Amino acid sequence: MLYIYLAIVLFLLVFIVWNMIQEKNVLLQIDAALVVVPLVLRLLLIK
Amino acid sequence: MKKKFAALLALALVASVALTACGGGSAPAASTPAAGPTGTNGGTMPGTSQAVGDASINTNSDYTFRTSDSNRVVTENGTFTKDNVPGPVLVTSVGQSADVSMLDALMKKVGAADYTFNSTAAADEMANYGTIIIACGASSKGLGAAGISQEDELARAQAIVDAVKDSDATVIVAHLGGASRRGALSDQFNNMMLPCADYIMVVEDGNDDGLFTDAATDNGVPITLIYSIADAVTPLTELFGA
Amino acid sequence: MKNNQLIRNVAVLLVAALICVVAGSAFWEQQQPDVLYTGNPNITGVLKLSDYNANLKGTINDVDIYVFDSGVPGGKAFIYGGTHTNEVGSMLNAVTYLENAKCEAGTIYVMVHANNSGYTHTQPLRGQIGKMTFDLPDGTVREFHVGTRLTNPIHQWPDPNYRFNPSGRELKHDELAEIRNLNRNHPGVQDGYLTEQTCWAIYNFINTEGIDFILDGHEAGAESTTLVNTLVVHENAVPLGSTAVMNCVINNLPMRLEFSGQTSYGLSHRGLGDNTNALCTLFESCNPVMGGYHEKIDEALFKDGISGNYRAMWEAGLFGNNYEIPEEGWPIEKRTAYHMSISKELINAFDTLYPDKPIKVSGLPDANEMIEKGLEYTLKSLG
Repeated sequence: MLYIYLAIVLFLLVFIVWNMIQEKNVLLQIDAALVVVPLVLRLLLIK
Repeated sequence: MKKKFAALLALALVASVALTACGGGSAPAASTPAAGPTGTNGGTMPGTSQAVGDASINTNSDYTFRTSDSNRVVTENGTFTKDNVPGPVLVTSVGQSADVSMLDALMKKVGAADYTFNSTAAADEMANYGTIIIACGASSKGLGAAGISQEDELARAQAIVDAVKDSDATVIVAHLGGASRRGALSDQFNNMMLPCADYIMVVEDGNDDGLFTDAATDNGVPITLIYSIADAVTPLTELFGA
Repeated sequence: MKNNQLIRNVAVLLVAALICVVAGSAFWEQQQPDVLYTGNPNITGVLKLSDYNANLKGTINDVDIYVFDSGVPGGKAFIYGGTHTNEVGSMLNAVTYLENAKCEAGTIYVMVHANNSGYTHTQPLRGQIGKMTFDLPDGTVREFHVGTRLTNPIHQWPDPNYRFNPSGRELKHDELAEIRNLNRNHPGVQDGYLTEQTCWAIYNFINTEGIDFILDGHEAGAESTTLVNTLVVHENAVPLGSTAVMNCVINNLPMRLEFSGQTSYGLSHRGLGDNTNALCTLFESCNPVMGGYHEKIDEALFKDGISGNYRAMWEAGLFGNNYEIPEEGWPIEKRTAYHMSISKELINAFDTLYPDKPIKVSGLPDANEMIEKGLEYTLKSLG
């Protein structure tokens, strides 16, 4: 079950990063970047 | 643009909720279930400025505390001696609080010999004893541990009252749980047992409304007020000590 | 334009990476284990919790159990702290035993970090510090991590939607996180969730080693009026507990006795008391951090135990007359001394009540000296 949840996190992460790259408004890019941080930390099982 | 922004915000919210929800929980502060009993044998803090005797925590302004840190055992309304406690001796409880276990420990501490400890002794056993010490105080956990319902314990207490009131047995009512052991159910037991007491022993901070001293006065029986539960060693040594 | 976009993308990703590194380093540091002083020559052996549940091997909760075997056959006591890792008095009592105890008869087992995973994180949104330090007289510093009451979700994730394990406790809705609370899952499940595996290892350890009594150390907030300074005992342990509490009270320590609730499913005194032959007890000292009305959870609150809010609430009579919240608070040395005192009295009481199973301990610091001088003077230097 852990790996399923990690896969969900990875799935979300990929889409957010993709969205962030495509986004032209820098404020929204920063917004997305903020969301990326906890997802990365959870993917790496740091937090 | 607005749709993208809204979608991103929604995604952020989902991610945050998913991660913070997993990271915490409604962890209760206490490590035992919330439903608790009426309290335990609250001994007072020794050597503290807010201990028993301090009027600022006296809930009944008419009552004057007799005991203090320097005067830990006070007996009123006459004397009660070893001659008043013929054997055999029974230690029992009404209300099944942990105070009866503390009383048992106290009896062992003073070297009392030949007493029977039975917290759930039935009324028909009372006739076998010359002295019956009853630790009054209710505890839902104690009742649960003993496998007795409140109603059954009240019935048992009433049956004990009926058994002892016309007998020659000496009845000692002990309330050792202090203020934290007072409450509606505990007081039901107290009010049932006090009229048949020949002697009362009480941790004084459980008497801040004068319940026990008034009962002693009304019934003309001696009462020993003690500062903390540990001070029960003094009267118990006099009565039952080796 | 495309170059601008690329540069901006890289910049934002780099900033995100930097935040990950900075935040991650703090979380990573929290996961580093405490260094314990194990130079006590009276330690005769070290067991691993995985010796009693192989599923724990290699996991964060595969902790050490220190053995003090006197060589004289007798009773066996198990004293442990760290079930809830922000209840530091219990952990420091175990540390005190680890560093000082000498078993003169029988055997004493000591476990410092019962739920080791709990030390690797703090509860989100609580703003709690992650460690506390003690400056020793020789200039060195002892550090102890402080965590939260639950297993870290990076070690046990996800939580189930429903759980009914052998403890008898039904976990659902807002109680689901309790699957990561060691003190809600006793006696545990051998191959269950990590926390359940840990509980099962403790249960199996008690059975395998023939432990005679246990003391599970905890701390409670001041509003837990039925728990503060209270020894909670399984009904089998009433004579032991009442004797120990009475001896404490006679020594001017305001301890109380309470029975374990019949429906306290999963708690150590109920779960282990019902399922092992050990006499199970649990003691709670007063820690303002554990309540809901404290101020900022900084190191001072943990160590000094001074809370203006709780003092005001006590003065207003909200806690009855069960105990005092003094101006000087409930400092960590006092709380640790209380744990040490009740555990010593339990050992003495067992020795008295069961003379065919002697158990005696010596070498522990004087409680009054611990309170007066502070843990800085009783903790051993790591050199």
